[in-house]
Amino acid sequence: MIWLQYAVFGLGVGAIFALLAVGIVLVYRATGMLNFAHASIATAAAYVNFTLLERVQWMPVGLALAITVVFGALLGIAIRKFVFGPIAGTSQVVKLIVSFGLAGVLQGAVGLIWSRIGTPTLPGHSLFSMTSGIKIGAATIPSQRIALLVIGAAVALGLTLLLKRTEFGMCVRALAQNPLAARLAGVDERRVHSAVWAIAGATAALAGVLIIPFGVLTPLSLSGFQIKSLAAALVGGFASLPAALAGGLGLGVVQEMLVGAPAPLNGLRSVLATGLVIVLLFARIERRFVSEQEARALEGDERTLAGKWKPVPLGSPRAWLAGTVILALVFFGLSGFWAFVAGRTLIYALLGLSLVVLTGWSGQVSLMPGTFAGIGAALAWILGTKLGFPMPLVLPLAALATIPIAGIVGVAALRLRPLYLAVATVAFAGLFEETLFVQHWFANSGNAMSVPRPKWIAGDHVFGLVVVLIVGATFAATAAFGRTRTGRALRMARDNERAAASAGVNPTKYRLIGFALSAAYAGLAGALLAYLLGTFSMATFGFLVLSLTVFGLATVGGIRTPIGALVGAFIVVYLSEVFRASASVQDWVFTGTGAAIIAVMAYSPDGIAGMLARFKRHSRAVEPPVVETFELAEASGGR
Amino acid sequence: MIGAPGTGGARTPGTVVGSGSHETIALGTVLPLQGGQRNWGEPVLRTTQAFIDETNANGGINGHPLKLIAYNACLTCQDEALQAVRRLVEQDHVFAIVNTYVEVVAFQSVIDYLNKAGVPLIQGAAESQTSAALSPVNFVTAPSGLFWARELPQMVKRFTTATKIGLTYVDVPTETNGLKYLRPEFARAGITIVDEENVAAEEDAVTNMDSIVTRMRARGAQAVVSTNPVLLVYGRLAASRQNWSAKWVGLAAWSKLVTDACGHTCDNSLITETAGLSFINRNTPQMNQFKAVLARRFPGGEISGLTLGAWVGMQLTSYVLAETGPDRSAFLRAMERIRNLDLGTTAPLTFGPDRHMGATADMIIGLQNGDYVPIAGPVNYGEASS
Repeated sequence: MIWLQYAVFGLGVGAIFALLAVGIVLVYRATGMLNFAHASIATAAAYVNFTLLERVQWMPVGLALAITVVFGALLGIAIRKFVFGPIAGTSQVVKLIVSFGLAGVLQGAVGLIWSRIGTPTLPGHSLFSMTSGIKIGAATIPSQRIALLVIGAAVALGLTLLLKRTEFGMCVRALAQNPLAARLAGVDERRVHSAVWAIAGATAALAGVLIIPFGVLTPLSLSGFQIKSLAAALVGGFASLPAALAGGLGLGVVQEMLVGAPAPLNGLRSVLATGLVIVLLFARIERRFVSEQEARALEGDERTLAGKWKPVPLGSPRAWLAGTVILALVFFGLSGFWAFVAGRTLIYALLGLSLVVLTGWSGQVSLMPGTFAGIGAALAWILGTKLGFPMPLVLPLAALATIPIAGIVGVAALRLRPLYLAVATVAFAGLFEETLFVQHWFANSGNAMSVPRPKWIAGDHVFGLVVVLIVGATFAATAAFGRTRTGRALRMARDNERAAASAGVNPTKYRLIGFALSAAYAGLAGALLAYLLGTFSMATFGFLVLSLTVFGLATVGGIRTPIGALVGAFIVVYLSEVFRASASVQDWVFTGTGAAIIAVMAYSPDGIAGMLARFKRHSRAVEPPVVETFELAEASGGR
Repeated sequence: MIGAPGTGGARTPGTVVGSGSHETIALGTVLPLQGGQRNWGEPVLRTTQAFIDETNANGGINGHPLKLIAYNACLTCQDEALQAVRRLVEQDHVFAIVNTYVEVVAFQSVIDYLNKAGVPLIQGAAESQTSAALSPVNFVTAPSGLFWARELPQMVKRFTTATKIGLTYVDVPTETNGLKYLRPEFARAGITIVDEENVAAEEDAVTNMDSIVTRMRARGAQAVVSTNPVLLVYGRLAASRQNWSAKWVGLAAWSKLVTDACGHTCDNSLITETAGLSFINRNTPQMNQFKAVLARRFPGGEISGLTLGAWVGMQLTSYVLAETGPDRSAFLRAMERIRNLDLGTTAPLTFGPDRHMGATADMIIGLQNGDYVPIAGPVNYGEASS
């Protein structure tokens, strides 16, 4: 009987996962956008709901719920118009990156708005009794769990019928399978997309209102639900609503069963969602639900904003080396504090560079730079502090030892389409944080780890100089690498796998090279950061803390050129320190980073570096520095 | 001895000592002030500022006006926190860092730096289950983890009849590190832990507590001990849904979360301690002043463990500053001389060269008719042997 109880508890929780999942599926099915901001919409709606109940005392709970659901729908429509609209024709990966930016904007906006008007306290109002239960035999089943189950299932099934049995549903499916044909047949794409976003926003709002009374209201309240609802949606290949419902309910049941399971089995709870995502992705579950034609239509423009990409300069190795010498001289003019900030800026630039190589050049979106940096930092602790290796040996070893770990992800990644690879790296990041990063032997059980600098470089200036030289040399070497046959082949494989293969370039090999280089850079950056801080714990390297920041800075700076990594790091670390004293600027920076990602993806996919390059081209009217179309001939001719 | 029990000898914002033109004493703080984490940082910042404004309005400390410089760093952003603190110390030349709620995780990289720089760090009731983050310059008004390890078994023994308990905690180092001290103390008190349940993160309490409660009950637990307030509140709600009236004992500094989320459901069943902070309805001049100033200078600010903790941190800082002035060495020495200091808003504080977590006692409070009532205290249970 106790297991029956666990199952019913799980069904109630699973209904919330399912409710969020159907919104994710609906948007994906219609627009190809995998929305990582879905839970943030739910949270924003919960704030609205609680504020209504707190400020308008006479308002019945039901009316407040209705207003909140309408708010969710309007928010969905606004997102369609202002966020999704400008990127509608782009690839799924671009849309995914934008959804991360959107999540940052929503969380930042909620924090900002409600810090001004006051966070509503839990009003004690709930649609269901928080305390009553229904007796089934010896077991007591809380009534709210049953209510959640009924509502979640009803919404999911209702939306399934909407998609299958109505003209609107037919339009959604037609747009998903062949947008051009649908448009020619008279389907109003904007109206359909607006309706889809409205429904998704409304279901998210409903989920937020239903679950928050059982939790604590903060702008991050439902962030943990995002990956779980994503896993539920993935059960249906992000395309099937009934399967998403089943996935949500199943996930909820298994999660609660694991709570009741004996140790160490119950420890699997923390990796359940991330593990499920990885398994489903590698099982290529989407093939069961999405036809090849539909999958291609959903993928959008594989070349990412075709027509807007222009050649960007990589910077010549000599220029990078000259810049390194100048920076080294400038370093000695800085105070100790600003030398520290500059050193940290360069380490972040190195992390950004790891994404330039992997995402910008090799076309593989990884959201794990922070994870690989964490591995490098932990290796610095193991090698440098525990085993007593000198720093000059620790740094290359940390970089090299990160490669085989990254190789596991890289080899697995070869099977995945770009969007699924991005999702897989999010799941892998979570998996590493829940497993490797809490091990005593690897990460001191998550506690503080000390990695003191050697005495000869203990000072900020000397250590900063070491950072300048290492990072500068890495940038110069990368710029040189970008001009070699291998570097060009890397980009060719990104642009057109078939053309690359026909020119004798093995895309698999070059994808793995991209992963290996990227991991080594991130591992090196992590080890340098460990020495910079002296004491740290793995919390520094969390996905939400570091990986998203680095992805944001590389995107805003310009992810296809090393210059972009440097520009992005300069803005996010150094310039934001310059403006630290201004709280309003800081607010803007936090919320603005998400907004900047959206704007960059919509209007200047090569970020600030791309804008600078365009400005330079216009002002000097000179030829582009690197023309990608040369590469096919160059690479094949070089063989 | 600087203060004596019950004397209310703490410096309060209304106190003016000395007069004339004196240099401003700059204090710094680093808090999560942006985005989703703003909820945690802002109450601390606004309360600290309210104390400083009130102090300055009354002539400062021995004529020295106070100034607060606040910077942002997220709860786990260690490199950002270190950078912010270095700016405070090296660019803004603050005298001390106060009331940084981010101590436990984000400040792991900061403590070493402050220690080398000799800059004091004063925390009002900061969250820390262990003393691992403490250093010669770091003072916290909360009791030590060893105190909690002794206190929780004694609370079970004194306020329940249970001999078999379930233990639940969030699986993070700040909580799990204390378990090795807690388990032997329960054994010493003759109490058996029949079930241990970890929860991966606080938000999982929303979904996991029904199953956890079911399992504890099935294993014969007669009471539940929680090392985390969120687990305690949502666990108690789950227990209520299942008509299980076991007592819940744990660390749950009072806040509106408990009364609003649990309310009458927690009546007669919640026994809590307050991280060394006094019960909010304690009738002392200092507590009344805290409430009055907060209402005036931070309208809409919640009276919670966060705001009272921030107030206590500033009381302690200004109390010692009044004695030493802006002299860091003298300040640190004076902090370590404090014995049984009653600030009127917290349990008596005792520091020493080897003791930088000040509270030695705790208020025990419960819920009655949906509101807090004092049960006992301040009670000193001593500390577990490390």
